[in-house]
Amino acid sequence: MTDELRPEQGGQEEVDCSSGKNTLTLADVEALASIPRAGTRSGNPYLPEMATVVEIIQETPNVKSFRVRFSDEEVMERFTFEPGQVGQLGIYGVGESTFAINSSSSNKDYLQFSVMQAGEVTTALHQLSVGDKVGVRAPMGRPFPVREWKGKNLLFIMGGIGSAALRATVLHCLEHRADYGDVTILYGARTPVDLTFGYDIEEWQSRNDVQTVVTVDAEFPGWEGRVGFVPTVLEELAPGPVDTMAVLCGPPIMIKFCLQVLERLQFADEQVYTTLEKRMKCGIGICGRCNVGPKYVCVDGPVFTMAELRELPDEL
Amino acid sequence: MSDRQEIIRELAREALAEGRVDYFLGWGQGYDASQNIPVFVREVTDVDRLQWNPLCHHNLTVFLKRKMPDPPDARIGVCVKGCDSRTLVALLQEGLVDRDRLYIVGVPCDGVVDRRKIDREFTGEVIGIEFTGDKVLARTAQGDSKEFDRTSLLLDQCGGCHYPNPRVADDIAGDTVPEPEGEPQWPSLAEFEALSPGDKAATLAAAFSTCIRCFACIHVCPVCYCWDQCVNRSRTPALVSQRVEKGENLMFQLVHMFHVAGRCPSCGACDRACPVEIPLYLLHEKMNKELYDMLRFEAGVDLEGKPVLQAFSLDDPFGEG
Amino acid sequence: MKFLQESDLPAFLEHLSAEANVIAPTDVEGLVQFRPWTAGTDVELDTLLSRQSAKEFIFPQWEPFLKYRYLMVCDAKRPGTAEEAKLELRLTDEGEGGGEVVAVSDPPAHELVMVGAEDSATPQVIFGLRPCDARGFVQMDRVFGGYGGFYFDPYYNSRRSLATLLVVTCHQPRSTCFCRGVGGGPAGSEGADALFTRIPDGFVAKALTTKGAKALEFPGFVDASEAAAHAAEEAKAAAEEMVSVPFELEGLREALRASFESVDWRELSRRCISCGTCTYVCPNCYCFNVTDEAVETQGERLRCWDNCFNPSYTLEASGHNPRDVKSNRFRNRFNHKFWYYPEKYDSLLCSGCGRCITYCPTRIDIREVLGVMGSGVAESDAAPSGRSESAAVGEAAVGEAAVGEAALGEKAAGDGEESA
Repeated sequence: MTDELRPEQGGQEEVDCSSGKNTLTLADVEALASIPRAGTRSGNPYLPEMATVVEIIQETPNVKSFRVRFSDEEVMERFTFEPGQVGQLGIYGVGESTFAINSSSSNKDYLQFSVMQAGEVTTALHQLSVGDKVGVRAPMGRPFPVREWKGKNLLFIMGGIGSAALRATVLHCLEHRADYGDVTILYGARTPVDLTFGYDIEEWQSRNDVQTVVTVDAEFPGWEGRVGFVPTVLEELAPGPVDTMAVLCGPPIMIKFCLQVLERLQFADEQVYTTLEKRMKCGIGICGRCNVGPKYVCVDGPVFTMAELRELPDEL
Repeated sequence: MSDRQEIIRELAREALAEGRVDYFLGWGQGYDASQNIPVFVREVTDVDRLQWNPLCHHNLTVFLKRKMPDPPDARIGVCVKGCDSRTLVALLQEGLVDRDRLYIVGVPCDGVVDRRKIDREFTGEVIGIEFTGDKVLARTAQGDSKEFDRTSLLLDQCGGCHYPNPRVADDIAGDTVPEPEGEPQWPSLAEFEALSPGDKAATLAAAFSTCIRCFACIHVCPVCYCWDQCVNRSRTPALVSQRVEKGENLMFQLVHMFHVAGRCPSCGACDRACPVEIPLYLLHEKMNKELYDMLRFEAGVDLEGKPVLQAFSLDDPFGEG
Repeated sequence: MKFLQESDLPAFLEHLSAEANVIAPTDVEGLVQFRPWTAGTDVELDTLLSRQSAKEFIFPQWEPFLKYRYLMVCDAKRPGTAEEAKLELRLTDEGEGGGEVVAVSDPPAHELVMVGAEDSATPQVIFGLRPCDARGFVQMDRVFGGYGGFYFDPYYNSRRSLATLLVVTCHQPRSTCFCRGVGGGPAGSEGADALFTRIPDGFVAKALTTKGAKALEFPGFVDASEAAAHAAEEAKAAAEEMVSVPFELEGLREALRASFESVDWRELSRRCISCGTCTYVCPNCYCFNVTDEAVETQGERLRCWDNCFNPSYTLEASGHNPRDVKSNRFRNRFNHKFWYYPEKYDSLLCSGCGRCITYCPTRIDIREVLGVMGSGVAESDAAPSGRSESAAVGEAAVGEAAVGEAALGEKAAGDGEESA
């Protein structure tokens, strides 16, 4: 685009790729690679940290999980986040999108983002290979108050890709199992094919200190498990509200009906947590886009209690 | 002229009283006695807000385009001058508005006064404009006032207008006005066309260096129908960059121009909406002149026709005549 | 108080331009706009307001955050990837593994080089701002400065910290001015590093910050005589009398909260065409977009102005758009300026310049909107039979704003939102 990015000719041996498009010298490559790059640690929250895709898992036909490692080892080592926080995962040349960091916060090997293919950025993400470079701006947002929940019973209600938003929190609570009372995980999807994190579900089901209920919306060939919509199954499970926090994420219709069930089960608004999504750009509470009334989903959220949501104007 | 105002009010009163429309679109006074705005009237008691005078420049058919009617299936009464009616004809030709939900009041027009011409005559702030016969009295907040001949203040395009009477209407607000005979005139183009190509390019570059991509021109244009999904905002395809520079800005405008070509009668709403006074009207008039010279076509004149770039005929008169 | 002869203004600006880019209002094809000033350019101070605000000099309409280029480097220089069969070319598409492989290409090797955006902040002096323009910067400083513990924007702040704002008070406010209605005034000093007042033969000037004091070190400044200082005070007082207070600021936030579902939003926004003019001419609207633009293998990530009237502003990838309806977008802008922003940043996001009124293609009047919505009377969603009354109230309020009618004594009683 601009002249300043054009490489200078001459120098040492030409390093030419098969298409012959970009002709650079070794000196050029080395010189460019040594340019210091600003990252989030530099005080500029708009600049991503470079990261490499180390593993890709096809969760469902349209959901992939990407495990990424920061290219800078020190950044990787020092990176921490709280369950429920999100990050902007992006491809240079395409753009960024917001995803929950859904690896465990104790995982020091990689960050995991689960991506449903929907628009321009997610489609480009789905075309990545292991070894490709991405940009990560993380962590962002308000996490789930997992420390405040100590001693409480936890009820996780997840629908479809909503599991991605809650996974890190579930993992945290299971890693610190003794800190919590009863833990129930209710996870439903349209069909068994749409269930993500199969590797987790197996493990959760094998534990005897967690009640794991997996359901699909309708009968499906080969499915021996529970059948029923998540709100229906929730009502059947009828968890008690005493000392219990309900954490839900899923399609809007599921959330709507689950909230009605929770209300019938006498859950107070302060006991019900969810995490919101909005079109985001800066992710740091400045560009003005992701607001619901006076709250920005990127900094005041994405985690909100129902009590907080009821205070907000209806423009979800 | 005041007759027309009374007729407009009476027609609006009847349409609302009889429940034939959900609301009636006309012109009225804005925040002071020199400003004219589109007025939406729902109640019979409000029809006196409707005015008719040479300040009534808005093309009200913009409020008929997609996503504008509220509720979406509203029955709407709308006033149209000659040029406005041509944009309405263009919308009807393409089936973009539902004729059955419209009550069209045609208003024959003697020309619209160019507010900017008045403003340029004063250093202060014009806050009042009155019309008496063919005289225009403008006064400022500072106490200055001047009288003008109305004809000296008309919009440039009104000088070349061949269609002052509405091309489509259910009722007409008063007598029609004489329609100029002969070939269409393009009064504003002589100076620009006389420039050398280099000077033309420089003029356009200078004009578009001030564009702020506010999209006022796109949104105010009645035939710019994809306004809320405008390709100028698109990333796929990305026709213009978000770099707001003169090359990109000119491209932005060219995209708009070529998309409305064949449906734009150079009503000039885009020009009047532009907050930085880019001479958009000039470009559209030039485009329409070329269309006329090439294809003997004028947009929005024949309700039974089709926009020239949407139709093909072996009889198309390329460059003849 | 200092005094500068009118005829010394060019020399003063020349002096300032030795160490900074000087920006001043100048005539650009008949419009007054802030532009970089060079010797010989006339400074246009007779016109009250520039067409656009000067915010683009601290918050440009577009700027790159970073640039990137994908290098095509031969396989030998790059670690292998896991998906080696990625570029097999097959003659036929016979399903998984079917078809004869006719060629295999090395997997494309992408090394990514990222170059951070240059910090291009240079010192600037913006001369000829009006109090509402300067106040706009102060209001925007909150969000970009991380007020309340949020993030700090280095791009905005690097320019802002190197900018000196020299404000010239207003001699003849327009009928569309309502600075006094939002806690400001035609002689307001908020954001000014130095405040100038024009009197018949020059300017009376006062430094308000160290930056301002430095600017006034130009030898052409002399001590202002008593007469000059007095003339300046009279000019300021006269200007104050010309600006009315068209709506009640106190209780406005609560009224907006209560009116969120009011059908009045639909009525008030009827003639809005949902463009971005008001946002882009405003001294303190700041919402922006971040977008990647690339041509083949190289490109940049840009920040550019955006506006909440943009129909796709909140459009999500699923297709859901929380503000698909025009009146909801319309409502958002006013709520942002008078409810959301104050709630987060203890500051209004409007300085009462009135440009939005003057340049809106359909002359939507913010004074009318806030007059109606701030009345605290939230209509139900039934047919707005009371609408005509509130419209009349709104128009009466606007009528009272006619220049020359004194509205003294109606000091805007802010609910703690504004400090003078």
